[in-house]
Amino acid sequence: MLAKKQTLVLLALSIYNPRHMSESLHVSISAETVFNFFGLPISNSIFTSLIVSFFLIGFAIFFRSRFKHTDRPSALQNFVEMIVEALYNFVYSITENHKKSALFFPIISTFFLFIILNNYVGLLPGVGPILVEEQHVSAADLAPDQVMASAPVAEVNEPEEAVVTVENEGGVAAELLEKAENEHPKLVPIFRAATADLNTTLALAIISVFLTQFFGVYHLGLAYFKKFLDFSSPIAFFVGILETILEFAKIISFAFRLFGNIFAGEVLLIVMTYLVSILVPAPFYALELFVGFIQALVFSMLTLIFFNLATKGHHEESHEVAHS
Amino acid sequence: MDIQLAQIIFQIINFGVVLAALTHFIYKPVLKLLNDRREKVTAAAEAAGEVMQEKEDLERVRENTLLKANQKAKKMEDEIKKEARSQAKLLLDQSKAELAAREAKFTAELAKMKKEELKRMEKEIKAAAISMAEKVLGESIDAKKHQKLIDQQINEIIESL
Repeated sequence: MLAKKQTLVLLALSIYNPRHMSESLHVSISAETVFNFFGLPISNSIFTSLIVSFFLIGFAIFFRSRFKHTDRPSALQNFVEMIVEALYNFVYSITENHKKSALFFPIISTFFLFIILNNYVGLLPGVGPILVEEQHVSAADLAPDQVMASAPVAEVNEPEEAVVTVENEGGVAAELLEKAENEHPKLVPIFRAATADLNTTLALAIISVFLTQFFGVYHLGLAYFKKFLDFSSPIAFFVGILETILEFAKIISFAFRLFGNIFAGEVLLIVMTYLVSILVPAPFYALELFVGFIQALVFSMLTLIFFNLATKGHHEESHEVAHS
Repeated sequence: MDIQLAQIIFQIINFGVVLAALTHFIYKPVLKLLNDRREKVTAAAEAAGEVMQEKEDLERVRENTLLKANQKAKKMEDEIKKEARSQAKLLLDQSKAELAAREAKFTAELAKMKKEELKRMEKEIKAAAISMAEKVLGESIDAKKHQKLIDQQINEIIESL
């Protein structure tokens, strides 16, 4: 009982202690491993995204248990109906086709809800300041170049700690780094917004681009690939190559846009809170709420537009672009 | 930046599970409900449209009936007015005729009365003249002769009038 109370006090102090914050301002561009699950390293971003996913699934199950097919819905059902209807109308406003809307709607809505919740989780109190010891994956599990890649870009350490920069040649640096880190275990946040991790945004981007190709083939058959492989003229062939590059560029564009915006927002908030911890960060929190919403909307809308374009013929698409 | 394939695959699976759960537990039932409600609203709107059409038809029938009734009333009014005018004219003519007849009768009566009055006056004047002449002459004269002279004299006076 006493140990529980002490843990709670420590937890509260770790969240709201400015001294602690000033001594250990932690900014890391990559997610850190917070624990291992049957040998699988679980990073703080994956841990947070799992919590968000459980929340979404739990809410969905709870909603289904309370759902009634009635014209007089409860407040909760009314709220969910409002969101679902707004998202469906948003999808329909782009596709202008109920069949396509019904096909795209679940994916677009899930993208929006998943991204916006993960963005907003990063703004909750406690996400960031609650620290745990970082768990290390053995150097043998990683390629030599991954060791340096996973090191934080900036870190304010305790005064007595020395900042060591070593070249990673032949894995020697990896061993030295691992040894140093084992001697001085690093504290890392247990929670991190999933969208502030490039792996998550890459995964979402891959899903988006893969589904774009899937819907293209689903609607147009093999004719969909004609825009990538067009031998009708040298220019068309060259355009086809550009279209192919464009599909890969979409992944990078999607992933880095979302990651960059959310990660930059988190860094901004950390720095502002570090500089002036009272009142000043408030407008930046409001800005980040707006950015979180806009980024979720942008990702969903672009995905929807790409889905919609993929389901139209090449000529139809060109005509639409020219018209717009 | 640490790009790990395992984490990417994990997040893809994670997203897939969330997508499946949300689709099964929220999107499908809510969309079905919204569709049903939309259909119900559409059906109600169509029924309302039919009722409105019916109302417009009835309104049109009412207006036509009203127009016909007005026309009929107008026609009847005109006929009644015409009839009244003819009746009035007839009555006026009858009154005029009656008046003329009365006037004629009255004139005749007046003339008769005048004649009678003149006769009476003539008699009185004759009597008075005879009486005066008797008093002046102190003797009686031939009444018949005298009467004839007086008649002659009165006729001259009347004619001169």
